[in-house]
Amino acid sequence: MTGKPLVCSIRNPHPITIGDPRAEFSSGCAVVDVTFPSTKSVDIGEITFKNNYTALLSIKLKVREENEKEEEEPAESDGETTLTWVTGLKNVQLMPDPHCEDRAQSYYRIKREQLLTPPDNVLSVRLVLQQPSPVWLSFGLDDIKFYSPKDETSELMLSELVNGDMPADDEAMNDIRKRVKENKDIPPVEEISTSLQQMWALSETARINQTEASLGRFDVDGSYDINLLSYT
Amino acid sequence: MDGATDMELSHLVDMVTRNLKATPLYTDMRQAAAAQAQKDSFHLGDLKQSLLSALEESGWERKLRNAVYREMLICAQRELSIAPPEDQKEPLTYMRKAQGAWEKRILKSLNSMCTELSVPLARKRPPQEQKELLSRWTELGTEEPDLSHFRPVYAPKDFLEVLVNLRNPNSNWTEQASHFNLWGLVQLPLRTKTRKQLQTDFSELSISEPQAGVDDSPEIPVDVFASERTKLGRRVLEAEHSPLAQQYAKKGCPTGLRGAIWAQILGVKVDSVDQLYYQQLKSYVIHHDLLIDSLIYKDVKLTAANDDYYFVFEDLLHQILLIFSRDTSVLKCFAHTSATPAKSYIRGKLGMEEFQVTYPPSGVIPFHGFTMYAASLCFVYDEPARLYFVFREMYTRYFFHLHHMSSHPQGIVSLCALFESLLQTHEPELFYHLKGVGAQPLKIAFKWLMRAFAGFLGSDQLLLLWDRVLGFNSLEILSVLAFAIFSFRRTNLLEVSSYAAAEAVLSDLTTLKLVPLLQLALFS
Repeated sequence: MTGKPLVCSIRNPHPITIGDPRAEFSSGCAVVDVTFPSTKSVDIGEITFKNNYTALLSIKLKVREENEKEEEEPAESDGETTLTWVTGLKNVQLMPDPHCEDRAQSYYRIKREQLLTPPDNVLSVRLVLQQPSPVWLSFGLDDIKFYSPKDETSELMLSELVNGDMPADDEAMNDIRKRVKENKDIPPVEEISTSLQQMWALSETARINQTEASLGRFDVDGSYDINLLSYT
Repeated sequence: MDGATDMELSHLVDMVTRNLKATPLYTDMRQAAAAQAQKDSFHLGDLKQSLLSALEESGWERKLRNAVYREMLICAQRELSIAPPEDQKEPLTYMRKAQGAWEKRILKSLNSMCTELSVPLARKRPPQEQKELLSRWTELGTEEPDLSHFRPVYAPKDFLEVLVNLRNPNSNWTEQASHFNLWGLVQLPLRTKTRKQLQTDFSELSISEPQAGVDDSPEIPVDVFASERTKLGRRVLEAEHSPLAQQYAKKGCPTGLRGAIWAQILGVKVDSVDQLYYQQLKSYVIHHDLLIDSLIYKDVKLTAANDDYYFVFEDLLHQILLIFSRDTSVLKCFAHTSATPAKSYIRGKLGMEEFQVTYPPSGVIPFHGFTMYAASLCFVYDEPARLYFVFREMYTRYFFHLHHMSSHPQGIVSLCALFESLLQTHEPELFYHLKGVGAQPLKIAFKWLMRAFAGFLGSDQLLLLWDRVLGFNSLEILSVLAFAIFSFRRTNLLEVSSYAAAEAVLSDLTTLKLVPLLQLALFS
């Protein structure tokens, strides 16, 4: 259902401190910086992660915006485009009660439709984590993954295949095509495809008719002689 | 972000349809549809539409609805599908680890029992022995084998000890008293419901509503409540709809209708296939001898056979529990909790994947008092197969939660936390007093909770309690009742000065009336 995972580098949660950084002080707030290494900006389709005792989550996105008119914006100017920070999510509650275990280590999935602004042309992401409860020693997010929107890549691939213009560097594919052209023994494509379709239909019906009901047997080949339990 | 999104919903629908396709209902419905389609009145043009309406008229829709409802109850409250399987079982890592360690302890204890007594865990019975067992199937209780060396694998006391030592490694908890230290024994910051939330959840129990258990007592004329209630019950049964029966059970069932109402809620209908299945399980018991059998035997002897109310059911209990241990369909409920069944290898095939088996086949290792879950049902059902299937359903839906560690709101840890928080909030003086004299309330109440009060309350009162468990589809009522009992005996408890004295005050619960107690605790 989702697109392919996006390559990105994710920094460890950095706790926000006040004054001397060595002094022990818990502000209940931390940030995670995510950067996408490619020079091109990316579109985000979905974010998934496993919560680890974070109560509230905000997401800030650094996006490249097309400049329509020349404006004196405080953001870094880059010729025709401007880099601005926009808010994707603001204080979304991950734990219903920050003092209690409920959903403290659950998995979450945030889709692009749930974000306040469409996450397109994103250069980097900053996740702001908050945990107001003093009950917990530490908090963060684990297993953070970004995915691209679903349709884009598959459509691109399809159009490429239809038009027949494969990427030039794809030598292996060209090689195969050459061989196919040379080899006259291979039957016409239509024939193969009809027979394949039949086979596919057959296997499909077989798969559908298979029940998952178990027969309730617990022995193996009629034997259930056991001496000791195994620890693994 | 919460609530089912389209994708989660379609995932749920997928799962329910997949599960339903594995049931006989699917084939039965297909046959019914085929039979309908062969009738002359059917036109190919509107085949789909008329088939659907024909199935609806012939009662199949009701059956399908019941089946879907049942599946939804089981599938609900699942983690997202992106989570790895172990996270779907239990999201909290330390809880998973604790359950794993506890299981290992049970394994060790079983293994050491095997080596000490030099008996195998399982063996095939020789034909002579099989014949003998078959001949005395209905009087299994009369046999008196020497089981003095067998001991129950664990008792509620051992399990409580483990629960009390559960700690969240990420919490600011310290051994010294600090403000993060909780008063009670359960030191986990679990979310519990307040009395206000419970009042809304259990609103049908309120004093203004007529209840079975109060208004059907012999002193009150029958025509005030009881006869109307029974009439309504009959109509509910005619409708054959699980949610309806569930709603009915919230106010308690009349004794005569209880069996049928419960079966309807649980979706248990013993047909010929089920009878066959039951016979097959019986033959498994005859073929193989398990070490677990001795444990079950011993537990029945120690609990039910020793009890004034339940001793008559001894033979029946032996049959039911032996059969239960061979039923692999029980394994399904392990998919939703942190627990994993014990594994072993067929003799001589150690480490070979295809010879790995679960032990016992049902995956459930009985503890001391396990028998009482089934014993209380013997008052409701007398036919073994029906009794068995209702027991299995009750176990996989409810009792299963009572002896595994999990953060599930119905799990035993949450129930303990709920009990302690209720008692602390509404009877702080009592709680502090008992804690001071070394009688932590949970130490006394734990065995009640773990056994769902089976064998502690009077038998009629217990069934009224289980009516509510089924009706509200929640075990939280157990914690409420435990709190109510403490609150009710508070005057006596405030005078005790030792654990033994406190236990003595609460040792006999058979005289308590369930419904007034619950109402007192929730709504006064």
